[in-house]
Amino acid sequence: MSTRNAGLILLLATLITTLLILTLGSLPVADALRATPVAEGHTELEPQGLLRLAGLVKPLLFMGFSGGLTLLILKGSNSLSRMRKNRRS
Amino acid sequence: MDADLSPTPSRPPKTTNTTRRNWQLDVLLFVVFMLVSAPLTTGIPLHEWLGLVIFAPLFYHLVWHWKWVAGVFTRTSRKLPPHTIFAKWFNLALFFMMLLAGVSGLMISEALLPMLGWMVGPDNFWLTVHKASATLMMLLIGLHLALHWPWILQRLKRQPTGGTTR
Repeated sequence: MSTRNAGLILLLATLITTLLILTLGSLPVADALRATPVAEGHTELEPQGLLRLAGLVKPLLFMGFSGGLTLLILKGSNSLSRMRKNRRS
Repeated sequence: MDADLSPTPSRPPKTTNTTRRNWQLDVLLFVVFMLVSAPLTTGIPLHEWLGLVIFAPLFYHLVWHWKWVAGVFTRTSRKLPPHTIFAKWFNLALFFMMLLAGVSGLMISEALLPMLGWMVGPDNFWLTVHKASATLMMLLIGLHLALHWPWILQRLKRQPTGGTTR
C-alpha cells in the first residue's frame, strides 16, 4: 500500500472519528454537565518564572508511573516464563 | 502483505536512514507531546497551537508505520500473537484518545479559534472531556513508550556515535 493511500485512509479515519466525537456533545450527559457552572477554566493558568516548569511534573509523573509499571509487569512475566521453562527442562 | 506484526520492530530495517528518520520523528513527537501536556509551562496560546501542530508528526508516525497498521487490521485476530492483538487495540485507543483530546481542546479554545474569528464559550462538558482524555493519554503514552523500551534504549545507546545501526 502506498504512502498516499495510507495518508488518505488515515485522514478519512480521522474525519469520521472527529464527527463521532462531536456527536458526543449532543448527548444528554453533555447537557447535564453544561448545566453545572464551569468550575475551572484555562484562563487562570498564568504562572510566572520557575513555577512554569511545574507544569511538566504531571505528564512526567503519569508517564513515568504507567511506563514503569508496565516495565515491571513485563520483567515479572518474562522471569516467570523463564522459570517455567527451566522447570520443564 | 508481508508485514512485521510484532509491537516493536523485530526485523532489521532496510536502511540506516529509515531507523534514524523514525527515531528523529519519535523524539520530535515526544518533545511536542511533553510541551502540549504542560499548559502551565507553555501558556494557553502556545498549548493550543502545539496541540494542533502535533497532528503533523503524529500522522507521519502512523504513515511511516503503516505496514504494521495495515498488517494487523487486515488479518483476523486468530492469526496474530496475543501481544500483537493487545498492541493493535491499545494503539487504536491511543489514536482515539489523541483525537478526543484534540477535538475537545478545540471546542474550549481560548486563543486559537478566536484568533481565526471563531468564538467558542466556556463549556463544562468539553472541558471535562479534555482534561480526562489528556490525563488518560499521558498514561497511555507511558505504556506505549514502555512497550517499545528495548528499541528506545538501543537508539539512545547508538545516538552519540551518529546513529549507526544494525
